Amino acid sequence: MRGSSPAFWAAARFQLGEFRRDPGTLLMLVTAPFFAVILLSVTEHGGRADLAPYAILAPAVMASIGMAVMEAGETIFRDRTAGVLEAVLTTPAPLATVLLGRIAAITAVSLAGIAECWLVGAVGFGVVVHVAHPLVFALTLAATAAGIAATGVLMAAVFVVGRNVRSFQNSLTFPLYLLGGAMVPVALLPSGVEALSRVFFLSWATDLLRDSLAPEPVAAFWPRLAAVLGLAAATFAAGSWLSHRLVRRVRRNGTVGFA
Amino acid sequence: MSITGIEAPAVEVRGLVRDFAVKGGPPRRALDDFDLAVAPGEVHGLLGPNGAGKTTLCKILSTVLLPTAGTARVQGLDVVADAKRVRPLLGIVFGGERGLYARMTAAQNLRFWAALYGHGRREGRRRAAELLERVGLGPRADEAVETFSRGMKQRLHLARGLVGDPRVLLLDEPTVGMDPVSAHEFRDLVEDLRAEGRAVLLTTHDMAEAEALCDRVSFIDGGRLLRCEDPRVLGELLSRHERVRASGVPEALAARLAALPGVERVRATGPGAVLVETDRGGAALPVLRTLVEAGVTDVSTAPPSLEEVYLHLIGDRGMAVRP
Repeated sequence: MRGSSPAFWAAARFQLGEFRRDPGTLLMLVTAPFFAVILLSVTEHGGRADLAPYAILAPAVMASIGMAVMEAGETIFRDRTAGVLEAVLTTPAPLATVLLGRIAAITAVSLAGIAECWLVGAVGFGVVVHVAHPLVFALTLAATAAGIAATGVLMAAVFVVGRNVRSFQNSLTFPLYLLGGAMVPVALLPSGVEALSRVFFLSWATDLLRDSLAPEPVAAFWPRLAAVLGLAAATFAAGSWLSHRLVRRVRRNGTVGFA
Repeated sequence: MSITGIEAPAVEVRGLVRDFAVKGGPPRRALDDFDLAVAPGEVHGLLGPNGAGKTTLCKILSTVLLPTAGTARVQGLDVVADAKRVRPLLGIVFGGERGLYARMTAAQNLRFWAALYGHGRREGRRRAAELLERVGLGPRADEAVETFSRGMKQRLHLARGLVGDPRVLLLDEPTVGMDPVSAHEFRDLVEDLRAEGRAVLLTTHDMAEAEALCDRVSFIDGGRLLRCEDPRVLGELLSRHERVRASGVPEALAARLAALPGVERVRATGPGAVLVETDRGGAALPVLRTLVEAGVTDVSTAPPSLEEVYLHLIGDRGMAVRP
């Protein structure tokens, strides 16, 4: 498709510039270390040092998915308010590509939360979490980032039709944390909720990330990674399809420029 | 180009209808069986009051709005069925200050939009620099758009509209907020675009601009096309509305002028100054004779301006928004 690749990279560069112009968009990276402090305090005082990797991973993953969802909504809201969304829709670049570029940049930056939380553990609590399986960790992290970006595209597509997206995106983050196993492994959730969580790529991803930190061999790594990537691809496909459908709807209703 | 070898119209609109839903009421019709054709290389003016349907037409042509009925084509391609192929052919400049990233610099904005038209990074930089020079913003290229005056933003809008190298340019009130010098430069730019063979559909309230720039002018009101003409031909059509200006005219003489056959009305435009409007071809002659015979020498005649043509066509409602 003409224009897709330059549009993706231009959107990503634009978003990186937005972080410089408006550091407020990085707020979740400010709050993530505080969450890490809370969770590590609980695990340390509870005598469960074995749960320290969980306490470090949880706020980092929450920051990443939270930033993607929140900024996805903000991207649409701000572009619409500034009359830019209308202009974007007149260009040959597909909206989903532009959104993917911007949210991919957000996700890449949000991964800094992992380093922040790791440092909180090391410096604040003397807990140094070792990555027992670096390759598993790196590949899973890359797949997770792709899935988070895809989730952002899906959410942004929904926000194209919504007029009051902020309350929606605020409410949405906690179910995603839960279903993604960010705070609690989904295997510990009620069976119905666990089954539901298995269609969300993040539940597979967080399990794999936790397993990559433990010294035990990682069971069925490749099939599980394939599940993460497959569900991430399905999420992006759904986001692209939905953005196409919903853009057509606002073109029909004449509400593209309504903020 | 069509398969017959005959170049398709740059813009072709037939029977276009667009309704907007109104809560608790019947739909509001913004375009009603609207027809329009713009030839390649033509500068076509679209004149009408607020709410006439000008922007709705631009939005349909630029693929951000779907028509309720009828067809709209750009270089032979349907804006609904072939929207993806239409977009690279079109550049749009929406009116007002919306449509730019305020905190980005002018150059960053243009590079971003160039990428959305498929231009790589190097080409985007080249096009951005070239267009900023062309619209006179070269020295301000690296300043944030939010620091720009309204006129400068309009010029940047124009540059954005050209960044995809479009064959058809839709300009929706492009000179709003521009100072007279910039507006004059804008006219030169439109002349250049015409010379490059690009078609331009220009919506405007500025009659002088339309008269100076357009090959043809379409008058629109209530979503309907009232008339489509060469601006000069249209002026000729309404030559019966020729005007006579005079000063040093006593009230009694003004009353005599008003009684002459073919005089529509006599308006006082200042102490002793009048504007005599006629509604019949040749009616200006007895008015002039009467004035000269009465010893009035400060007299001039003028054809109706495009604005008067416009007001005659849309009636006394003038610039009021249609309910």
